[in-house]
Amino acid sequence: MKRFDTSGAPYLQPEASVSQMMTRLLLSLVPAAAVYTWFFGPGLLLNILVASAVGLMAEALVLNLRKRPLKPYLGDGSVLVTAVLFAWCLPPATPWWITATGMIFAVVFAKHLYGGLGHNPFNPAMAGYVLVLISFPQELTRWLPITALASNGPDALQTLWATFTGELGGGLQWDAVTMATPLDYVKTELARLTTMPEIKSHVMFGDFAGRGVEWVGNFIALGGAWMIYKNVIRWHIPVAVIAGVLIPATLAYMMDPGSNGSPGLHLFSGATLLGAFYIATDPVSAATSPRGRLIFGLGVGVITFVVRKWGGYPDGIAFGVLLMNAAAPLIDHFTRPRVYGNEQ
Amino acid sequence: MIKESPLAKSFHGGLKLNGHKLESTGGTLRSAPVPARLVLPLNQHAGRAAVPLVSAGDRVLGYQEIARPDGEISCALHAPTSATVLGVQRLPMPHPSGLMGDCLVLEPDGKNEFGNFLPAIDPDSLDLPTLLKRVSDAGIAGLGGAAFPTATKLAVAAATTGITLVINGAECEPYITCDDMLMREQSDQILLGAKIILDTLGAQRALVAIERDKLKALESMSAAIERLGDPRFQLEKIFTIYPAGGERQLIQVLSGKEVPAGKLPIDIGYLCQNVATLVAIYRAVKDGQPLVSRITTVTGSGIAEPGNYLAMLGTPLETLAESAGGYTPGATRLIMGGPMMGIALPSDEVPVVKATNCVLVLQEDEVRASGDQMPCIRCGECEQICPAQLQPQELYWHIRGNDLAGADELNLSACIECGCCDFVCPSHIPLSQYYRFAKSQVRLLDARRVQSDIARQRFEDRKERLDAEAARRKERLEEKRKKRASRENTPKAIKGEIDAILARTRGKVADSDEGGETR
Amino acid sequence: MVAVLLLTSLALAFGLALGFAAQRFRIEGDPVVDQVDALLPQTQCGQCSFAGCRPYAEAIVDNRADINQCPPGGEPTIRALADLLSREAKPLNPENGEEKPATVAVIDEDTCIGCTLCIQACPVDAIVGGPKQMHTVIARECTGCDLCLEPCPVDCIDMVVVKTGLAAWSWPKPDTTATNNKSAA
Repeated sequence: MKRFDTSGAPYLQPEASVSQMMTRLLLSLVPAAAVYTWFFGPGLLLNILVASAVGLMAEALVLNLRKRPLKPYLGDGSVLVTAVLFAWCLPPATPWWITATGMIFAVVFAKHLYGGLGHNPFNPAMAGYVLVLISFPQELTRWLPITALASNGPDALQTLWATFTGELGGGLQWDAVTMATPLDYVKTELARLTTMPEIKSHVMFGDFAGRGVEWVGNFIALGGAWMIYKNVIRWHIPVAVIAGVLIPATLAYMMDPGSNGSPGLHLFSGATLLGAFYIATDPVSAATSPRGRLIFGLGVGVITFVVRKWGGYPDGIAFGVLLMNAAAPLIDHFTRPRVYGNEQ
Repeated sequence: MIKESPLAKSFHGGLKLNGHKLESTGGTLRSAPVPARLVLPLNQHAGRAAVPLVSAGDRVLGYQEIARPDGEISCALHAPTSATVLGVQRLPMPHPSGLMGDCLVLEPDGKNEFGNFLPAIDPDSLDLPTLLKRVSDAGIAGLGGAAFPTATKLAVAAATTGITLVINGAECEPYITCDDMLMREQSDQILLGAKIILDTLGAQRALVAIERDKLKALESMSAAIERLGDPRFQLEKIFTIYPAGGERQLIQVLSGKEVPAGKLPIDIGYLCQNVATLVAIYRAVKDGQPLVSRITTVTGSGIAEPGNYLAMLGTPLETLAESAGGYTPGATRLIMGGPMMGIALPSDEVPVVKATNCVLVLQEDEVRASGDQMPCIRCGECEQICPAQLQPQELYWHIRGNDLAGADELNLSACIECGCCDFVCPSHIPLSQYYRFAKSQVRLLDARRVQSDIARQRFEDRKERLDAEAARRKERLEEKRKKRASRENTPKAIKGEIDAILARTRGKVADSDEGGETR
Repeated sequence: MVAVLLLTSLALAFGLALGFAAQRFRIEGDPVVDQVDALLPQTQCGQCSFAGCRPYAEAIVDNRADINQCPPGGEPTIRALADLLSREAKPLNPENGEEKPATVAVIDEDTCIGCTLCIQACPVDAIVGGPKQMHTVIARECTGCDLCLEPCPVDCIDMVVVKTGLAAWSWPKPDTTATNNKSAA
């Protein structure tokens, strides 16, 4: 007679794991990060470094306080994803204390105080970003132009210096080296009643959106497509977010091309693509059913467009995501799937 | 006529799993040796346990009935070979609880003598009542794994006209190949068994459902259909997706129709029968042979020589494993059934029962580590994969929070416990275990509610009775008071009353001397 | 002026409508009490400090009692009541008792003197017998309320836990405390 172990079902090795999903997500962002660095300098990488370090430390501290085991949670990669996405939304060469504030808020308040992984109703990266946006409005507008345009911009060492001290060395002034983002520029110029063709003639613009930004957008979309192929995310939210931005943008553009950004501009500017593939797809805070996800994504896209056109900020992805996060439970309630054998 | 229809209809979700079928389909069907002891649990089917007809010391012949069915949903048991009855003992059952149950233990005497208890019947001249009686007498239960008494199932089906018989040769769960082997080697008997049902139940057609990649089985069955030449039979090649072989999903694949919630497939005119059950029915009719053995796949990396074995019911799994070359080093998990829906057994001393379609032995590195659950990240993969179109995640949250009524309202009963959701969950949550738990709790709570309704009724009846008694008493007192008030107060009237009372009392005393006192 | 007249007439109109509705759609009895009573286990044991399940149901609806006072009902009942009445589901109040496994009363026939006191006490008439006749409990109808224990002058009634065999077995709840809640070891 031989005795056997009877731990319950399931028996087969699972296919997926949380850490595998997170790792794939981070890998898919590597090409886009490389292109970003090529165009805008090492600022992004420094931001990611600071954000990751602070994020990991904050998470370790909170897990300790909550008396949870460190290894599985630090190892699942979720805080690294939050760090990367948060860092991406910040201007390059953001002072480290701003990044740190945002990350601590995201990890401690927006994630662990709600119960940790799987329990946060709001996207932590966006919650951190909005906090920082409102608290440090000036620093958050210090976007650097692409290095090709900035003949006197900070080089790598100066960016490093700026990140750690908040000041540019070498006699540079922030006003002199920063430039508005394409969306920023479009918004302010439209308010001054400049027409779109005139706006688009500015040297910062490429084919349809900001130079450099377009390229990064392409690679983000490629990374996102790879994630869909590998089943890390499903297509519903990205497609819905893009539709939610493009449909109103196209309608507005068709009605008045002079004072509305083209659909291409909307698609490739700001955080549209990053939001569509990486931010809004955070499974914990999004809706869950396929239909629900389509509605969720549409909502994010539409709110983004509304904020860009009529709101006070140049980009609305963060607000779109957070507002739809709040609506997600309601969406889930109304989009339950029809169960086999039932009518509904 | 063979009509092959490539099916476009499918069911929601489902998984393409690594089949692991080739391990056990290499050779031919082998017979397991007769063991030293045959252990036959009295309850190895859905419904009430069978009642023993023999006692310790009796000698029985092979095919002799040793336990009779108890009630409408029950099954008989027969001796697989000539043996001495050792009695009824409480022994470990092949059941997830690991509990013991009553089993009839037989000691084969090595003579292998069989009796002729059920006369052979010509399948062509069979009427419905005779068929039902024969199937019941032969102790046939569904051999696909559910072990529901077939006679009861057929009786319910007989009430519906114009039904479609679905011959379930899908066998979608990985590792299990007993039906595949049966279709390769005994295809004619499967069809003849199906023909019996078609003729007696007046069914219009029979759909033979086989997975596309079971090439040898398809070949064998389609040749058999040609030989039979019965136009009612239709071969359906279905896509190899787990769990296409589940009754409800299979009907959806074959017809596009869904079985309504709370109803049975027969309610929409479909009767599913496993191929092995059909062979058992045919043998019971044609040869008078009761159900005493079944084909079991013995496979997995923990078994030295995987294959399919014809084993007598009651064979200890230990004997079966030995005849399959024994265990390989590192074998840690013994599962009755497949890797998705099977149950882990604590030891191999449990016997083969009617539901044992597969014995799967796995090694440490193939089995997932338990206890590495992460919190649910709401990724929704479980919903995408669920063949019953449920929202497993929501069910999980409700059950975890002890809100079983809420889970029930979300159609928990539609869950077929296929295990697809467990497989895809990145947080490694044992979802189907939650649903099994919740379903059994809901059943318990429903039973409790029925009990409490009865108790309330009894309480109210009692209250009524007591109130009625109190009312009667009050009435009588009222009457007396009225009489007293209206009577004359003369001494003569009073004396008359006293005399009457005395007479009544004397009468009562006389009565009570004869009979008992009543309240 | 117009505003005052408008608002006054609106108020009158609504008042009339409500009064009409109160008469026209009046229902007898309180259906909520029936619904609450349907969720209670009907042991009529009195552990909730009310004289039976119906009085407790009425007290709950009147807000004189909380929903967590029923030990035989236990957590499932508290939860069901919380759902029905949209009140907070609290743990069972320990002052009313604790959740115990299901029991039935068993009379020791050697000791029973046939006094019928337990028969009179049983709220569901689950005890059969007569004066100076042997008493016995109909196990299937016994709700385990314990009310027969006290009246018995010879203390011959025992509460026995209902045996659970294979038929009554149910799957255990999986370990929800997995990695998420395990303390750092």
